[in-house]
Amino acid sequence: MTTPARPADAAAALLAAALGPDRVLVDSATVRQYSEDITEIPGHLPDLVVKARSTAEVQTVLSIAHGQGLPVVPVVANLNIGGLAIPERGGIVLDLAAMNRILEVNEPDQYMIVEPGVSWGDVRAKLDRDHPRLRFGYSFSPPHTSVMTNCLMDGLCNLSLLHGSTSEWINGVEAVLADGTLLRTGGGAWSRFWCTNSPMPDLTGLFINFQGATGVVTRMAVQLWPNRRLRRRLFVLAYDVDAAYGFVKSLMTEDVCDDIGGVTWPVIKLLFGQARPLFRDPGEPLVALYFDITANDERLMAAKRAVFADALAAARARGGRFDDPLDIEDLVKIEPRFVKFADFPTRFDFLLDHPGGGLTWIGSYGPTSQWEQGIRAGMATMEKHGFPPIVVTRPMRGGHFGVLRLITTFDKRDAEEVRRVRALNEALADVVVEHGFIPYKTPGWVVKRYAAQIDPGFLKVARAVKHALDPKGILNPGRWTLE
Amino acid sequence: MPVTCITPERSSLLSFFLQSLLGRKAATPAGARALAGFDRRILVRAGEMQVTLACRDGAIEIHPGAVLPWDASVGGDLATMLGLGLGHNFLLPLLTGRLSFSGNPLPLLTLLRLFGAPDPAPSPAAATATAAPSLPTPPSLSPKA
Ligand SMILES: Cc1cc2nc3c(=O)[nH]c(=O)nc-3n(C[C@H](O)[C@H](O)[C@H](O)COP(=O)(O)OP(=O)(O)OC[C@H]3O[C@@H](n4cnc5c(N)ncnc54)[C@H](O)[C@@H]3O)c2cc1C
Repeated sequence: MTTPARPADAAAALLAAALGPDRVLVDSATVRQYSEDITEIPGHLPDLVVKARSTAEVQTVLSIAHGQGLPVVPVVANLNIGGLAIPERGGIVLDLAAMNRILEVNEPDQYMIVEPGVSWGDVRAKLDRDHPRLRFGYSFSPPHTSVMTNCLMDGLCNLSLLHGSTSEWINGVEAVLADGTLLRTGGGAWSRFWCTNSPMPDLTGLFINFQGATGVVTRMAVQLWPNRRLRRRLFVLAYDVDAAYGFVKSLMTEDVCDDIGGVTWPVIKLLFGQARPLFRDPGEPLVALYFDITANDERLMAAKRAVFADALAAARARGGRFDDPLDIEDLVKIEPRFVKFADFPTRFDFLLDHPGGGLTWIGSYGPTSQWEQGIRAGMATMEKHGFPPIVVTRPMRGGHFGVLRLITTFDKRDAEEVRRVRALNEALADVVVEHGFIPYKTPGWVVKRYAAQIDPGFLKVARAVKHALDPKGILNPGRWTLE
Repeated sequence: MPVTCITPERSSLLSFFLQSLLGRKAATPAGARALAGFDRRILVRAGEMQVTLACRDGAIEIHPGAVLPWDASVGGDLATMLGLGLGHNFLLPLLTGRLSFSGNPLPLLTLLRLFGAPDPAPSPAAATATAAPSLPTPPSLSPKA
């Protein structure tokens, strides 16, 4: 018997023996498929792809990889828009999409336990079917993408104004460390009820925003909330940034809206099928703001609507120009494609289904006090680089911070355009950082670019944490310059 | 396609809204009847956006801006104009000054016939093409409060 020469070959043989050969894929078409995502970030081929179906299998994969010193990059749909699941140093891509069970929905204690492959679509279907009294928050991410990874990456959703980024919704996780060790965090580490992360020391944080570099999470307990019987989504078109965000700020600290968001004018044109809108008619609205108002009771809904109307009147009295609110249901009647803004989960096909299919952004969290300047600077930078100024904003957790996301679609097959997009994103990263925002789902190149600005003590401890949990540095290497 | 946007890359949102509304109505037998033999130019304003509808031979071209000469013009704020497009009654906005018109009113009446309530849109869940499991009609899109 001959011993395989390379660690990857050895691992492939051991994994095929342990899990079955059909779960270990080494053919060039498959490994190429997992080598890149839809962003401009350069891809890298893995050596093999393994499809796991259970926690025990994840433990097996990590134990074998650990033994061989082979990198392991966990992935579900690979739509994080940050190059975060590109296997920069080869090794194993661990596909967790088939671990897609919602293991429990605890209605009285308002939480569910999900596996990594559970998608937004799965959660919505399950709650609508079996637990209509409960609701979850949804991102704009396509319905088949992972809820768990979004929560691990501090995602932003339609309940984030009320409840903060999605990591704040986590009650605890079950995770496999690099050597195969299994642990639970949060309330589930002690109690059979996983209804809170408190009062345990917060080991859940060891897995948040580390992008799979500290462990592979196999279960997550995450909060649900009571559903609301009545829901209105109103759009208000605004004509200048200061007026628009003055209005948003006046409402984000009131208990009126579940969600407030803003998208700049090119988004509506993309929705109407314009591939790359660069022209803005001077009479056209600049920002479309949307407001979700929900209640269980007509009187409360009426009261919220009245506060909303007063805030709009006040914004107009301050000199802002706004069109009257348009109900999303009316917008859908006018143009059925508006349905993409009507309910969750949704698929923004206009961002995904275009020639070349490239999608990227600099998404960031930061001070709403700097929004207006940041939006203007971001839009100007995008226009200067010849791209539509697509900006998405959302106040988070009662307005304590806000989202500033600068989005670009591009033709990934066109090398010159990819180069231009890289230059644009570098400039946009500079813009957001200058305004005090921090890029979220932080790509490796962004960390490297600003490493000198990040507190050295922070980096030292982050690296120590990584080393403690993953001494051989096999888990998703390249993230946060941790190795 | 009976309704086209001329130079879509230089068009405002108003052009696209009108193309969508008029396009779906013009494709119906009633719309085709209204357009038959209708040879007029109408200036439509919404806020500070304006487009010219050139109606001819059963088709409509939407030109950005004001293209002279026009037979009639109608205008108001965007929400009012979209309400008109949905078939809301035009009398109240007219009486309150939110809607104004000038020129020959007859082409405007034809235009109103082309607006009207469009056919019901598909339910959000049905229209959201996804790779995920199909979703039930969401109960959260509640009746208007
Ligand atoms: C059109 C579009 C719109 C979007 N809108 C939003 C939005 O509104 N809000 C938002 O927050 N995001 C948004 N996203 C970003 C992203 O798609 C979502 O966050 C999504 O939920 C991520 O799921 P995924 O399956 O693509 O994760 P992946 O890309 O597969 O994984 C993300 C990261 O998690 C790591 N990882 C995977 N599995 C595990 C595991 N089990 N344990 C530890 N680490 C793991 C990966 O290595 C990677 O670093 C959007 C994306 C697109 C394409």
